[in-house]
Amino acid sequence: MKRFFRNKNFTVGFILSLIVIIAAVISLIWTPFDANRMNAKLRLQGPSWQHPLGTDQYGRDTLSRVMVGAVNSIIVGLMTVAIGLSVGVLLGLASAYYGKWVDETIMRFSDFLFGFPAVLTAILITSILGPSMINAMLAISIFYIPVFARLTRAVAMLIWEREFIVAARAAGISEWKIAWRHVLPNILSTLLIQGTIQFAVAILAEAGLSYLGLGTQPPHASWGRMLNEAQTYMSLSPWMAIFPGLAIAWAVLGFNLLGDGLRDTLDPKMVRIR
Amino acid sequence: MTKRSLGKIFLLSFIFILSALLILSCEKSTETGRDAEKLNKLTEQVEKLTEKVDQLSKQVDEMGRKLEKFSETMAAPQRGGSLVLCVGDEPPGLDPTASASAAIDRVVYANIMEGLIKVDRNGKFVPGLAAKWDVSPDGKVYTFQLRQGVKFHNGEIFNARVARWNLERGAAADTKNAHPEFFRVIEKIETPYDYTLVVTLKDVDALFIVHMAEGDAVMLPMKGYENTAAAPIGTGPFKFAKWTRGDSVGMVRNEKYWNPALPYLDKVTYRFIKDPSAQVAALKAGDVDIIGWLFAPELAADIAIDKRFKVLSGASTSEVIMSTNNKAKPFDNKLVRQAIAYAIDRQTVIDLVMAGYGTVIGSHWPPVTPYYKKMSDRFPFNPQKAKELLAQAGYPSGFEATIKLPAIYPYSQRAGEVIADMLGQIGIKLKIEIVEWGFWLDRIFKQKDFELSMIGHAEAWDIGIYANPNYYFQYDSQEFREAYAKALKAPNEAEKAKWFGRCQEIIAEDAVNGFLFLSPALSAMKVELMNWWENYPTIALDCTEVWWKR
Repeated sequence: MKRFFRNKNFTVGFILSLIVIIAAVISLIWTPFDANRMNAKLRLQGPSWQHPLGTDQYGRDTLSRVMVGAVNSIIVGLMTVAIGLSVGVLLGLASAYYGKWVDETIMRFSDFLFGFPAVLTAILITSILGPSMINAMLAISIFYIPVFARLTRAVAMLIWEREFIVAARAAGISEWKIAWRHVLPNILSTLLIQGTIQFAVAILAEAGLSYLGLGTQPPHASWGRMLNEAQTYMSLSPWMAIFPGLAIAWAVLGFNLLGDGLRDTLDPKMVRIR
Repeated sequence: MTKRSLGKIFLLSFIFILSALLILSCEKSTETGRDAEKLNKLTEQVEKLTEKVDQLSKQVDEMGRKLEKFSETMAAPQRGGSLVLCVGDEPPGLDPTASASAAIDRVVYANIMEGLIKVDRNGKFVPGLAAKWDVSPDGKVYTFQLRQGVKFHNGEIFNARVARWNLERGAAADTKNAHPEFFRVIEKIETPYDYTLVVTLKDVDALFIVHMAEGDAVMLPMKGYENTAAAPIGTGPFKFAKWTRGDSVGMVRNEKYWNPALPYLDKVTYRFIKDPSAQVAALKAGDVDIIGWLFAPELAADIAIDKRFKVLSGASTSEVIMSTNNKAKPFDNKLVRQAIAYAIDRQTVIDLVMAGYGTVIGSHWPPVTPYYKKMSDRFPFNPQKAKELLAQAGYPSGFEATIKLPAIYPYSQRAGEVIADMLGQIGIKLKIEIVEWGFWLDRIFKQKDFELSMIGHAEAWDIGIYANPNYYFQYDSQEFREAYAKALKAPNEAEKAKWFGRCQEIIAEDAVNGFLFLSPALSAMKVELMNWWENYPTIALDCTEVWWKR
């Protein structure tokens, strides 16, 4: 563990992400106020001791909503990475092992998906399926599949040529078992790094979709939606926009730094190349 | 450490410092009271006092406004100048006799075209192209005395023959008029003299005069009417000049207007800007002189504090209602609907949704329209009573339902969120679904596939929709239909007031829909602009009597 904390990127990223996660976990049990309870008397207030981050246009406590929004973002990050990772790794392994037309098909399909701007197609998908948090997650996940598939294929192909695999093969172990027992553990660190970075990207993408009204639906709190609602009140009550915006920047920065730090420590080869 | 990560750390510390500064800068009350109780009491008193001060300042504001209005009406209007007006929607064409779109009326009605009857700024029916009119004692024969010397913008003369042609055109079998029923009540039209029009109805119709004052009944010239949608010709105080699609409609002063004193302005341009923030930006930059329609209430406070501008908030005719499917369970139960009516705090809805602009309503009738009966006190905010009624209806622990909100109207989405919160307090859990306008028109309005929705009904005299059991909220009441029929056949004012009042009472009592508030007629303009209509009792933005103070 000490090895990790010697890396400054990792330390800062770890602390930032930990704060987000802690805030999310606390909000599951307790928030300063009910995040969805409206109060006409407390409209558009600036920060105060009672409402450290102010209140929104319905008099809801912004701190509570930012905390609940963190849960939302983390769920989206986890789910999209989980789906992208599991399907992508499977496709990537198949591609690396079988080669030939299987490889060709999977990789050309990946190219096809990469050809579209991700957020634009996510908007298309959510407007076809209807706006909801689950559909937003689906739309983001679809774009993660080729990311992980390509990565897995590239790294797995290198591993597959190594001597210990040949030895395992000579020992008569079945190919899928080799993939599971020997190849996968060796590419795990690379996947972990990519997963952390994609986690941050997913938070940003979900915020974007929710901002456009295609993600999380009201009255549930989501950072992107909060920004959207704050837009019309920018001149009257800038707090409403600043704090959810800060939260997005905070979480994305945190998970990005965490990913960078992980790469620096787990993948020393890349550092050397740099 | 690479340069990149150093940059990230710098950014991070910047964000930290920024947030710390923000919190420090706005935190003023750092005092911590030792005696919490005393402090609480004090704050309570202060709150009460501030409320009183608020009320007083509101009264002062009101008086100031009245004084201002008085001085405005007293001051002699000045001639000349041009006006750039900003409205939200661009009309699909400019012929009000061929489309139901309210955006058309907001540009041409009372400016370029006029009907026999006009609605004035107080909602009264006043002479338009008819100088006066009489109704026979049985309520069936209307005799209009038309104004003499009225000419269309293309030089054609307006007389009884033209008026008759216009009315017959509206009733014709192949008419494009959105409301041919307005004209089909007519049995025969006679023109005994050049400027006398005698209209005999098939039956008594209390709304005939109302309909004759709407955009669908404007007078067009017999020869120059074909191109009305693109280049309209009328008798109004302004002549059509130019329509730049996607941008603006321009009109100039009609030098030969039948009232030589009017209009005061030389030129009027309607600009179409949909985005509320862009409207305000255009006003502040001086690109437009007034935002006349679809001005976002949440931006009003920002403009009101600016000394260069003033905000007028009157009454429109658009009732915002939570439309309720009266055939869907459990909303077919009157007790459930009444419980919902008790659970809604209407003033708070106005505060949260319209930033405090708007009028509480209790039935489907604008307070600016004649025969209004105040029903807003029928269901005062009382969650306890709501829960009791809900229990009585067989839902002691509430139920779940879906509310479908049209995405194009921000007020509808916001009101939906607020109502969902309020109904949640009595155990009714609402799932919010935001739908596109096309979807709303098809699924909700046509197929009636909904439980609850939220929409503004813009027309003033539309209570008749409750007499139609196939209308989208599917209200079916014999009692209402009889009352409405009696109101339509009422021969005199007293009877009309009685039966239209009764109609409002019945739907309020049945809590057919969630009657929430009347949309404000909100406009923001330069302070030098005088005599703008504060209320919008009809669908029009009338520039006839508007003038610039210099």
